[in-house]
Amino acid sequence: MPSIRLPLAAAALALAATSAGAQQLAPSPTLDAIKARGHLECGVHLGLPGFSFANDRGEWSGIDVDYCRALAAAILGDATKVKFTPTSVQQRWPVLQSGQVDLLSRNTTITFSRNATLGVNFQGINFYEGQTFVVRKGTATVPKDLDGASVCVAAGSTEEKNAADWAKENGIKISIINFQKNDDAIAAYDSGRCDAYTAGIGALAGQRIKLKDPDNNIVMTETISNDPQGPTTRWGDERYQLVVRWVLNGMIAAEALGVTSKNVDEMKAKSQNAEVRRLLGVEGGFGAMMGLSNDWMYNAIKQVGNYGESYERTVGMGSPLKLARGKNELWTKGGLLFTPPFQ
Amino acid sequence: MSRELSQGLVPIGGATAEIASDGRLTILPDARDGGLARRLRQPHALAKRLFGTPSDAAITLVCAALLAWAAVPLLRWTILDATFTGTTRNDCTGTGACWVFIRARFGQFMYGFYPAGERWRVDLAGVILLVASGLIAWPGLPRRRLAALLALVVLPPLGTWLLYGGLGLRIVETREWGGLMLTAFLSIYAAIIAVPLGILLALGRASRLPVIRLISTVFIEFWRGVPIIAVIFLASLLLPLILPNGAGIDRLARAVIGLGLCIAAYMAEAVRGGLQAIPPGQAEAASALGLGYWRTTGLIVLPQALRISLPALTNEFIALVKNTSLVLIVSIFDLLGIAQAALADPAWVGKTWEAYAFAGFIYWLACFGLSRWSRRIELKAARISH
Amino acid sequence: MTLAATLRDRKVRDVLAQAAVAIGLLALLVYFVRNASENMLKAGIASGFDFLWRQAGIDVQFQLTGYTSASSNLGLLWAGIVNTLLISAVSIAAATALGFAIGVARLSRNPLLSGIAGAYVEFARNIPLLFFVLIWYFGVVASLPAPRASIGLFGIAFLNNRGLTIPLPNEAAPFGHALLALAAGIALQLAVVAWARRRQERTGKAFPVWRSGLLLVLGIPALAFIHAALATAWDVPALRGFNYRGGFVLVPEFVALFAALTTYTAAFIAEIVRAGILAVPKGQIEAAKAVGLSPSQTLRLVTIPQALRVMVPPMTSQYLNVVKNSSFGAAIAYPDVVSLFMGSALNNTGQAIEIIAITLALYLAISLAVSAFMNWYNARIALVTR
Repeated sequence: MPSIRLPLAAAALALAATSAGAQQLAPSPTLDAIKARGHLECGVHLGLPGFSFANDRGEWSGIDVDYCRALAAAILGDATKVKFTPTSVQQRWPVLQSGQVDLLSRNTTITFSRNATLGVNFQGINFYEGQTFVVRKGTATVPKDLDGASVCVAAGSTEEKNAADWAKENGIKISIINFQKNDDAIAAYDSGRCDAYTAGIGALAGQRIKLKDPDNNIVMTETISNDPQGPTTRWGDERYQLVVRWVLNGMIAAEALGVTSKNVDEMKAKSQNAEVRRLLGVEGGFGAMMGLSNDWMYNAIKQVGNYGESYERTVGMGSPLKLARGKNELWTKGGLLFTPPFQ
Repeated sequence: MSRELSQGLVPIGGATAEIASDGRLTILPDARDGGLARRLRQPHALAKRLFGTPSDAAITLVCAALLAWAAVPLLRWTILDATFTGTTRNDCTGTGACWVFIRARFGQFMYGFYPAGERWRVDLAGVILLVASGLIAWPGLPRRRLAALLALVVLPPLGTWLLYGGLGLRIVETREWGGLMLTAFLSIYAAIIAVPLGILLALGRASRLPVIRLISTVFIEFWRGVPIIAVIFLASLLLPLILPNGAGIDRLARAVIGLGLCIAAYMAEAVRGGLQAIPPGQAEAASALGLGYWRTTGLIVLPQALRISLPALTNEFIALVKNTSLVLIVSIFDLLGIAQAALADPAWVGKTWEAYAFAGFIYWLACFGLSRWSRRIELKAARISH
Repeated sequence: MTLAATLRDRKVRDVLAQAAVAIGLLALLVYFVRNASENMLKAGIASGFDFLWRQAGIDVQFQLTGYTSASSNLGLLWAGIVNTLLISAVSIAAATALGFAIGVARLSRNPLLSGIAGAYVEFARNIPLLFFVLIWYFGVVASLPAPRASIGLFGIAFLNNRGLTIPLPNEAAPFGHALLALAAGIALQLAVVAWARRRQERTGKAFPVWRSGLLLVLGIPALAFIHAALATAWDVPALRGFNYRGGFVLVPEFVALFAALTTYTAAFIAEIVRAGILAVPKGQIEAAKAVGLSPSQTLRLVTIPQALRVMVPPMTSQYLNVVKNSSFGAAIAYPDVVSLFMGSALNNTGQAIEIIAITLALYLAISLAVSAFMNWYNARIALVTR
């Protein structure tokens, strides 16, 4: 036995010496790769206003884009060091699985079978979505009015299956027309091919403004499903998954703790709240535990903002989408957003 | 047998026709038929042809009506009632096309999201390409074959460097490329893969070695049998999986590789048509002089075969240019893709026809120009051989 | 023999070269497969073909196989195959007819007619097919009225932007009988033609085969169909709620893809037809006139058989192109194999390799089957024309 222990102990000592007393970290090829290449590769939606949308200069914005920026700030210290790869509904899994992106942050619903068979992990929820329909004014008001209607949908999405399940469950007959891309489905709906287009209620708020005459179309308020969405990573590399999960938690915690991009410096200097101090890296050394600098969340909040700021700017009242917080409000204010404590 | 004749050179009557993979067939114009221009110079003959018999007159009237029915609204929409000046969609008050949209988005249609400050590099690459191909196409150029070979070796890396950057130039990643430059890049670089590979495959299919022949045939028939849409899916989804660090291969590079492999099979058939047109006596004579296979092929057979199959190869290239439009299904924004992306902009919703008409016109211009050029070579070849 | 001499021997060298290429290729293949399985294992992607029997869970509006959302992925694949074959078959038939018309028009004496035909060909074949598909789709859908303002055809069929809704018989059996009558009529007519030909060769007497054809192929089956139509109850579509209920809907996606494939392919077929007709030497037609054949007999007995011999090979590749090009339906939600299987099923199961392999194998099988049939046909007409 000693013959085995001895070299092990020696190796541990050597490691401890080289890392100057730092805690020994599990290897993380993804974090190493991100640091080596100097930017984060983020897979986003092809173009969904409010979530991930590139303007005519190719600049991305949206709540899913914001999350990636925060992650880049946490890992690299700079929220601009992120590159976006737009992916269609079809492409997203292969693009993630084959390692072309470090994560997907693209309005993708968390489901069991995806988690179990696609080799992907969901790292939390940044948007509680619910599926509904957009229809022309005066044709229908609630989903059940749609008996006999033609419905345009993006093929391979959860919406495609949800709509079929929902119709069967409610004894309603609808004709589903499956397009390869959301934009194709919207264009077809707009040209009169379908009576309704179905997607998440948040997504629809953004997509409605792509219609020729947005005011003549309404988004139903009743939903037919629950579609929690959030950042998605590959299986493996637990330390990287840890970072992805806790940056999201950190953004939510920051809102709950009242830390914003504006007061973050002041909070860091003066706050006596232990959780705030740990979040901002004043004490606890949380960043180092994941192999990041201790001001990982400070950088994210300073450069991107907390969850609430991001929400208001991208999909909330400060945006053309004007979505109320609803389920996406903090648990303390009647919503579903909850974060485990930073302890 | 029919597979053998379905592409490449086909004798028709006394003349020859080329058939490309997309079925484009080019027939040598009959020398006796003077074309429309000459017919128009003979007004009597023209009147007789138009109104010679009652049925001729009827056909003429129906055609004229058809023309008026189609052309007049088209002309009104595209030009007479169209709006050309302004900056936003509100400037488009006419009932015709809103070309303001194209003007506002022109940079994107040409360069995609290529940074505005770096666009001179794309322009320069385009100018180099045009000058080089013009020089090589000019018969008076001294040592033309050497120059062409040199251009083939030097220009592709030079173009990649100019567009992508590095070595002193700012790097512009391919995700920022788009529009016409992307379409041109895809077409040209896929052809750079496809032509040499196609020549090798054609030689392989004509080889006396059964294994080589079998491999070439299977390769060619495989790619010719599957839809290009599936090939593009294949390249974008499978390449990252079958290579150890497949994810490291650029998205655009994957599309170029997929298109290149597939088009190589079609190019091979075009070259094979040329190879079959060379009398076997030539190779036999070369062989009798003591030349080996590679020297016989490289010095005697290939130069002649390639000259014969040049129009067919051009037709394949046209088919390739048209097929590049399919890359939009893997979210690469070529000319058509960028047109669709522009349509998704809330500021320009509903300008579908303008976007498609403009992009379609550019494709048409390029493909029609190429087909005319290939026809001229063909006519020249026909004049020499007579 | 020494080793060096052995190596110089041509046969030995051939065998070695081929073995080297074969082994190299095999090694590459093994390398790809190993990478793929390693990458997939690492990424935790499920593999195998179990997914084929799992429930697909999505709805498909246009299907002829009885597929429902409770069917398996295999059922989804089958629905896609049938849709691909359906659109290919009808587009091939229509494109051939339209292509013949344009090709003949291009050869017309009337310069206006031939000019329009020529302009159409040059227009259509220099634009990517994807434009045709998109423009037809958005053009067709945009120009048709909403269900409430449907264009009624005799009060039983309705055309609107949801498609063409036609009545459907409640029972299929009488129509089965009518189809049998049609098949029997065709078989009988073929027998009559064969008998008439033999008799003409023996006795020189012609038999008016078209009269028996009219009766056997058109008359009797038509009666059977009318009887079937009157004998069964019909499910006549009626407007209820959003759309027409009942009957069968020919969806706009089908119509648009059909129109796009037809108008695009016709331009290519027109050139093939023109080449075929030009290939028949003028002397043949003059000779036919000299021996007293009427113009229609000349066309039927002299021109067409000879033109066909030239046309069959390029037509084969054109027909194969239509099958492959039907995959463009994926761009407009026509539920073909690519759209349903490589789109929806791939995305729901994530099993890219299996699904792409199955899809490619399918297209290859279809390609091989079509080309085998055309080879057979080609051999037949080659014999007939001696």
